[in-house]
Amino acid sequence: MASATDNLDPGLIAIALVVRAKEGPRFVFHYPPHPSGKPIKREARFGTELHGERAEKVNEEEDDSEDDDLEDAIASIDLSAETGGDARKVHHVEAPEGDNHFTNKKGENVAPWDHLWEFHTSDLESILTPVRAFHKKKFELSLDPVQFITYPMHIRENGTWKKKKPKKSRKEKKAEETAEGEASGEKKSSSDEGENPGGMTMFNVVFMLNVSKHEEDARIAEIYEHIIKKFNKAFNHAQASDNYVWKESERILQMKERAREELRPMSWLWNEILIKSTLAGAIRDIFNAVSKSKIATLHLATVPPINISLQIPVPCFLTSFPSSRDRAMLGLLLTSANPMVDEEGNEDPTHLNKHFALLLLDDEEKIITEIQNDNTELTAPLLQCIRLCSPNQSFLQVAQNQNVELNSLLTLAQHVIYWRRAIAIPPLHGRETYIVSPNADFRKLPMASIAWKKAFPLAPALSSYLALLSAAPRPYKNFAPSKNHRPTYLAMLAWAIRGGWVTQLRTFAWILVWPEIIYEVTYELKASAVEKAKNAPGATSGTSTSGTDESSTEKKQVDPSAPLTTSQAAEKARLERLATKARGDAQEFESEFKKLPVPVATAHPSNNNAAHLKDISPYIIKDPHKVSHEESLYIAAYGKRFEDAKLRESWFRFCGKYFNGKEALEMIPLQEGMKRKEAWAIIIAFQEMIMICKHW
Amino acid sequence: MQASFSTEKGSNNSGKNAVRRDFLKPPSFAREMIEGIFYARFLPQKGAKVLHQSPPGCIVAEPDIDKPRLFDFEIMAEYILPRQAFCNRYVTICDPDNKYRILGHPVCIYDEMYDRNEFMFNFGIVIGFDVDKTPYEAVVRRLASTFTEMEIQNQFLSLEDTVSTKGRRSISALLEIIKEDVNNYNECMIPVDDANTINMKLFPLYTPPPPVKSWHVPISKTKFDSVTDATWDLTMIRILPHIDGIKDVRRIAHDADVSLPLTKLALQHLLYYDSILMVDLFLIGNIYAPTPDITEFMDDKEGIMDECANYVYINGPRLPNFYLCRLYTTLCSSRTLKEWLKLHLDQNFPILNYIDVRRFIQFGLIKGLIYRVHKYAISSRTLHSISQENNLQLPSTPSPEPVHRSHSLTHEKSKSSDTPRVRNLDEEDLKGYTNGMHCFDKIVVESNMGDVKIMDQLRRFPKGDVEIVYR
Repeated sequence: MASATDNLDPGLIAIALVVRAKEGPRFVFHYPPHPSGKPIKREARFGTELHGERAEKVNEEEDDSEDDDLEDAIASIDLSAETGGDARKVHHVEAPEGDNHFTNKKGENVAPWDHLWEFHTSDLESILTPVRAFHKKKFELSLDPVQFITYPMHIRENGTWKKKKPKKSRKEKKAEETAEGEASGEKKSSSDEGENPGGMTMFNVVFMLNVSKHEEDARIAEIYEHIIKKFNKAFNHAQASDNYVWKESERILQMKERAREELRPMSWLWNEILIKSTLAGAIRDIFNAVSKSKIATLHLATVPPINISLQIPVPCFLTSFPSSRDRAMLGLLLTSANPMVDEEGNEDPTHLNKHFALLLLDDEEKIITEIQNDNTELTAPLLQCIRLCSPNQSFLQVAQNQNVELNSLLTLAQHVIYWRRAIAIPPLHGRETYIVSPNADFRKLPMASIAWKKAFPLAPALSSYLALLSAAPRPYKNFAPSKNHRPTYLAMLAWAIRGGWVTQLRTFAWILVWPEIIYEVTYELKASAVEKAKNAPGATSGTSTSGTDESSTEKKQVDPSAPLTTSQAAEKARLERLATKARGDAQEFESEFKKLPVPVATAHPSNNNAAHLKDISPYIIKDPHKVSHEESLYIAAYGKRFEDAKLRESWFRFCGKYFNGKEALEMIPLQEGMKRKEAWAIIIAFQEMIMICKHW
Repeated sequence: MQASFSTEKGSNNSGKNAVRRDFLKPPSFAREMIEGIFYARFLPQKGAKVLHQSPPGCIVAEPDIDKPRLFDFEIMAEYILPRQAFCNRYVTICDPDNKYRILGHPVCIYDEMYDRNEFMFNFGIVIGFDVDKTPYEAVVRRLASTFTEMEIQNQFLSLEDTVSTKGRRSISALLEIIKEDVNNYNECMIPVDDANTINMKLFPLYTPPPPVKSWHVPISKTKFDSVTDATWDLTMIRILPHIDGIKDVRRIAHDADVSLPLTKLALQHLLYYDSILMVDLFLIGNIYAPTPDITEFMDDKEGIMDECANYVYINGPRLPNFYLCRLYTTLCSSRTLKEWLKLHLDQNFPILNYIDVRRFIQFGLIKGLIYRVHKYAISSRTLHSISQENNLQLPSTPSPEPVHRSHSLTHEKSKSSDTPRVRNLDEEDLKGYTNGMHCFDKIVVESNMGDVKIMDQLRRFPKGDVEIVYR
């Protein structure tokens, strides 16, 4: 998945811890020791393209492409070595520049860690310890080209790092504040020695980013929300419970001081620090994980220890086709089947559709070992969830068959999905159709072919398998040579979907109203209008085509004997004229109507080529959930034609729910609790009345 | 390249080039984006002080102005006039409430004539936190460079109060004009004194466009003949008439007698300013399939059906929109256009009598209703050799690039497939294309062979070696 997440690289180039202690701001530690100032490289491909344009590139920077190669090479080394916490190894490879102490022009001894890029740490430490106004606020400073993003933590006004549980009365607190507000920082720290050993008044874990200007804001918002804020909060918690940040900072600063006296090289010192300080280790771990868009797991050696996992969530599938302007996310599964949509069709990350199934993104045994290693109170239930779920069964089916509670199963599954160990897909089944995903990453074919061969030694080669699927979409079971092969073929399918090679081709439908039906409905509407006109009260004296005139005709007849004033007479004459006209219209309408051919219900309305239907074009009902009066009559007219009661009932049930172009017909058997065969038999009975479109 | 297209994208030049770019796409900024503009200076005795500001009272309190300040200058002063180490670079900072962003370029001039041997100032701009800050970077940089230059020339800033202001504008007036002009006209051109003028213009920063491929077909979104004039780039003028929605990039290069790389570069520029679109080569053997966005067409969002009807019903009488729906939904990943036409002909619907299929497909592609299903040839032998190579050397070289024969485009009539000049690619040449990364369009264009011919050649590979995958 590395290529798919290339695009999501947050552009993190370094992390540093800065504190304000008794003697002033201190730049405690930064990682990596020699960060690159260069902006990160982005995926050069767009849309679903596979080939870069390197060969034909005629760009301004001709030699830059060589750099690209070089950087690619370095990146691939990084990726291959990423498995363990062996970041140190990489640093040995990098042959650290400026690893040793030197003497500057003024004759002072300068330690190699006194500089970060061109900045002296004594300058950085002052600018990166913002005042209390920034306490628990986003601090965003850019010193071109580096962005410094932090969430500064100040000591509370009462000299503690944590809100005291029993809340003080307002008055008391205010008094304390005013008393303390006057006091200078120095005085405060000395007076609060008991509460705040070391006299640290603030700390700040600074994240340094270098991203291109187009995406700066989005990337900063992401990393701030998911990483920076949480990380600083965790440190604050550790500081509050165990004075952790200060203890560790003091230790690191002392080590730095000693190393300065002993003129130790920077690489040696950084090794020492990373071995001895869990705080430094945590900074390293989070840097390594976040800069590779991975999940960071942190262990802070406080009492009690703090373990947290942080990540910037990555999408596990794409719901729309990447346009030619989008950066490529090759290898990411492409599907419109979104498991996180609630009943109303709104996206809701907390709602997992119970008709979906869990597809693990890695080998089951490997994931189980990983979870066992985490060893939290969730471990046992998570393992059970992983063991029970299968990509071939929906959560609901699993819950029913295994007799477990559905909601807890869904919660656990969601957890597994959030931590990138699985995705949710519509259950795999031999009756469904699968095609090669337009976003499949063919660059990985050589390696994937080998892995495929290993996993399925007897199956056709991966490329043949993909060729087979892509040639002509058919229900998947047709590809298995025999019934006995089907389980293996389903396993192959799960493998292929997991890698984003294959996606499900789903069927969508709209209600299609043929001219015959439209004519029938309009004819009946007219007939009932004629009927109404005939039977209207006072039909002897006058009729009206529309019901609105009825009241006036009635009114006229209320007192026929009363003497007439001139105005009344005029009114009467007028009404009579109107009535005669209406009568005439009605008669005309009726005679016109009688001339119309009587609708004939044919067995196949789509093939009805009767002359009177020529000028009517077929009609598509866009949203059967909110239909107009006529549209509901069309649906009813179709319904009437089903002689089979079950079919008729299904027609009305399916219309509103599934024939809207948004819900896949493949979901019918799952949601209605039917057998697939049965559901498709019904859908086929409807096939003339619906317009079908197949897409992923 | 010459003239307008030789300048850097989005950079801040006033003058001819800039004006011309506006024709392509006038920048559309909402008005009044600059909330405040100020001139701050570090005074040896008093520290950081704001000397001028516009509107009055926006940064520091002024007598007679009773308006809330945008932010607390005392808190931000540290970042507006920072330590020397951070001067002479573009610096931005957000206020604690994340309501405003201050864009500045603190300058520190070292000279013995100043107190403490240095003169430090910053011309800053305050914009809303959510406002796109990118166009303003150039403005801030320009302010810094212009005033630095003027300070070095005649101590414009440091002697502000002592020298008579004859013949020059006051700084506070300048700030006011700059803010108003940039907010209202997105540019300003203000003579400061006899020698100096402040020229600035806001340029939107577009995202870089995808690279142009030789088998792509550009479609214009702009009426080029109404905006081009003789001062335009010569290459561009030659290329523009050939952008007709039919010719592919390679053909345009040939017909315009411009080299292919240059053609691509020119088209890349047009793409950057969003004045053309790119679609793929239209051939009757192509396969297209609907995307989930097809529902937007069926729902007739924003009258898309009529839009489509106007565009495609040009061969005969206009039919009801229903037929368009039917045509789009019957496209599928295993049906070539030829088969699709036949399908409808069999159902008594002769598509070609009514619609222009090329336009119909292009409409679908541009609106994202359908996508092109590309064809790939994959040879197991090629895959095998790549994986072997990868095992031998770690830095994965992404497979052998296909051999590029010189196409001698400018002289050879490149009638897609059956030109007598076409040489047969030998198996080795074709092999480079069989790693799964090269779609048939690319092979067709680069090898000058038609689909059928390529398939013929592929048949010469060992039996069962090559698979055709549609993706």
